[in-house]
Amino acid sequence: MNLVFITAFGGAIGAWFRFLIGTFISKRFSRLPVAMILVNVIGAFGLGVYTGSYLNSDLVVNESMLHHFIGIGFFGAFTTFSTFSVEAVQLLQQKKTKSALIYMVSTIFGSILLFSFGVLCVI
Amino acid sequence: MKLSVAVLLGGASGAVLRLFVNTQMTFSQFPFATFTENISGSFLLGCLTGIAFNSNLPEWVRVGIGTGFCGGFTTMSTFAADSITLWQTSSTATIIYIGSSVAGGLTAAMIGIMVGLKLSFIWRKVS
Repeated sequence: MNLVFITAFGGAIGAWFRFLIGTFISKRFSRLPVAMILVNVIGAFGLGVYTGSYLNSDLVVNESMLHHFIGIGFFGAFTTFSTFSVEAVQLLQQKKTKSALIYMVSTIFGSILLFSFGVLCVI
Repeated sequence: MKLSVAVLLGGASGAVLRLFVNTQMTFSQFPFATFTENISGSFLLGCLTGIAFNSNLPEWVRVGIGTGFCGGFTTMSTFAADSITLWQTSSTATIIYIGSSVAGGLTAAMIGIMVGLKLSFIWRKVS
């Protein structure tokens, strides 16, 4: 029960941070959904740093409060896949094929690379 | 203020539902749980986008369900983590995971948008 509550708490804060960054940045860029690229790659980097640091510790990861709060709750909700899918489809529907490709490649590979980079930074 | 409350509540419930799906789907090394969450969340956000396109949905509903719930339910950071973990056992499975998540997410979002548009038209006729 505690783990559910702590996940909800992390998720609420994560989603709220994404909302704030989204409203702050989206007014400044129009051609590419820059806000979601940034949120997703930064969130992936953060999860990487967190993952790298628990790899070195002897915490029982999957059952810990910290893991539910930071890993599943906060970074899980801070980053998003649904907005990525919908924004990519909208760019394609507007025939902005090049922007759509840049958006998809930078989000997917950016997230994977920055997650690995985050892990490597701390181990 | 109203929007922030909607996002906080949506994000909390999205993350809890994701935790629930995670605990239900631990039968394989392939990250089926994250895959299911990302695809179904993309579909739901697509529906919402389609409905909002053609009707004046209150902003707190759009933000609460879209940014909060769908955003909190789906995840890119765990997707990235899954990809790296899977890469250590099978590069083929990793490529399948990335390809199917992206293609599936976009297809689900597109179908969702079409369903949402249909719904909003029906809605208009009825009301």
